[in-house]
Amino acid sequence: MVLAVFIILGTVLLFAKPWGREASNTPDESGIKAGDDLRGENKSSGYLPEEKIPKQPPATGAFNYGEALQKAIFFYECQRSGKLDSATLRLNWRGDSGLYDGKDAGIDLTGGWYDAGDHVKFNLPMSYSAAMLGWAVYEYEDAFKQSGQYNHILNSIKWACDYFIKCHPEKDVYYYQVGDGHADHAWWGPAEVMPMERPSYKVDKSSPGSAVVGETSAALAIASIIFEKVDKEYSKECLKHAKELFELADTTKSDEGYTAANGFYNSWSGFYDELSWAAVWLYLATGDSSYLAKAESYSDKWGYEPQTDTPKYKWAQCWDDVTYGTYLLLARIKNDNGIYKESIERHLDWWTTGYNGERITYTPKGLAWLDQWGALRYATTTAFLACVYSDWENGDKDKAKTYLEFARSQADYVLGSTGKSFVVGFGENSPKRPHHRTAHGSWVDSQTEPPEHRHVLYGALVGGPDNSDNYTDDISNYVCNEVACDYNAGFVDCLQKCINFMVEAPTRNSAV
Amino acid sequence: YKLYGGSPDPKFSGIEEVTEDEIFVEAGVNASGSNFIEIKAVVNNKSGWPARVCENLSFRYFIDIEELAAAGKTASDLKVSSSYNQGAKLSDVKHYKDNIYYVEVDLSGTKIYPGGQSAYKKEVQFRISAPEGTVLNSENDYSYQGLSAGAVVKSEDIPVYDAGVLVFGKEPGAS
Repeated sequence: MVLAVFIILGTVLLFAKPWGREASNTPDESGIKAGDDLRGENKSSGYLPEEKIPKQPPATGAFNYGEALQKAIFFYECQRSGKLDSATLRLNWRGDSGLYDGKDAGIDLTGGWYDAGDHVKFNLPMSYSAAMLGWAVYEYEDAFKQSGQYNHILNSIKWACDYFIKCHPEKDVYYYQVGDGHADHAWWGPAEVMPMERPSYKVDKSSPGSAVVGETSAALAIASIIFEKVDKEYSKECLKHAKELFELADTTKSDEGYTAANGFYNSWSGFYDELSWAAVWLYLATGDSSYLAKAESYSDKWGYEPQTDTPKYKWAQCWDDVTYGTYLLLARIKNDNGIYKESIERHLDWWTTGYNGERITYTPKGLAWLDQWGALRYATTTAFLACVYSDWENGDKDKAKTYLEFARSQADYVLGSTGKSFVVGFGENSPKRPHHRTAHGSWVDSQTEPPEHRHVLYGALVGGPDNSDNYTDDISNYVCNEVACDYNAGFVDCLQKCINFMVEAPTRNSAV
Repeated sequence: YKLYGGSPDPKFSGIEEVTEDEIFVEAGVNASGSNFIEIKAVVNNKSGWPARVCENLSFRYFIDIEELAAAGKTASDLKVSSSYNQGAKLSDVKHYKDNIYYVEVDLSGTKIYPGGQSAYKKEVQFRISAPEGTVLNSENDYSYQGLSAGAVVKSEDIPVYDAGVLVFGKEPGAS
């Protein structure tokens, strides 16, 4: 075994060397170089080689944000389903799994990410996560390059997007789930040896699912933008699927056929937020203003605070609700001091200094606490929105300062400002017992055997504390200790800003 | 904005050291008499780097038949039988080298995987008997070393093979 480890290590090194790049001062140049790499031996898979980490400027923060980011991205490798390629895998405790996914429907649905500490492939949170990671690359490409994580994040996003493309075998058919939630959750063991059946589920014209189809369209539209430089063909392919999926979601306007995720990932907020979110991204990907008009046309459907005509603001950007990100993107696009700017500021004010005398709950130690489930996920994702706002040239400068300070405080809470880290394998007193089947590695279908996890799930952000900062590191406590794709997405995003060295706001290759 | 930075670790990797034996046999003496030995063997798959399903595991129990040769008998006088087994095929006694022979216990076709009490280990009991009145001495048997009655222990002397490839333990004479 030891020998095998050396061989794997050797392989990784072999792969890393030929393409190792010295730090480049001009991001565009490294962008071109990344494109050159693709004409090399990696073309077959379309995955990018591991980069050399450029020389870093001295760190000035309380925590090593670069290392946190590196690990937070690595988490998605731990979540991979399907046939694994050891050439692009940095761990030795994941093997092939879910190789028959889709077989019941006669198609190949292998790949994608397991959702959380389980082995279901839930496409709503999966596509949301891919969209959010993609958004971070769109905004802060340089920070990814600076930290040598650009290829890693693109590879992660591609891993999910390749699966979404498989899930869309014909124009009006979309597979939105593999695995039965109840059967999957009834067994506690590693992914590679799953004993239960893994049925697949689809939506189509007669049995639609606009939210999940819309969110997938958004993820692929974003992918089409961020892959344009490194893989033109792939970018085109993503865009084609994104357009078709949008049309399917938009013409059906119903979640009636989206049933297999009931009790796990219901579409609580409906699908209008996803339709607009996808349409905004399609506008940014194509410059076609009919998409912009489409996105705006549903603004009266996203929702209002109860008994008011105030656009809703007291929740967070999350797998179910992408209204807040949509406010922000539209505010920037319209740039008219209009309703979208108001809406996003109302939202971020409520999360920070308060709005209209009301403010989100803060824990005594400074976490903006929305809900007992995945409190850290909500805070870090909102922190990302705050970062993006703070980089908006035409935003309110004073608010931008406040928001950025908020983002930093939330990131620091997660990384250890209370004396403990909430990221597995990072910092002081980090969680050791995340609620995660494969990382635990039981052989007897039991959460208690072995008593310690066999593997380190580096980079996983746990659910987090209650509203008084109480937290228990317990495998069975899936409130405190759940980990998930959507938890990490906002977290990765929020870390970007912390290592973004660019003196000016990143330039955008969009219609903004 | 020039913010906080901090460098990723260039040596970071999730390639872990394998901290325990993943696939192995535990064995003990189930019953014995002057002309036979009955072994209880449990094949384990507690794999984790990565976890994997094994469908082609087998193991070999090595004996030395010097005492039989001295009594004018040969390996073909030995009988292999089983009173309890969870999906294994037993070979007759096969020649290894010199006076060393072995019984192959083949679990091909049986899925053994780290996914539950009854999934990660399979038990086989097998008996090697010499003709009535012939003495069978286990003390000089390679795979008998360290075994005792009433308990099973992990043994390096009962090597395990996956699809014919040695994955755990040592064959007689291996350094």
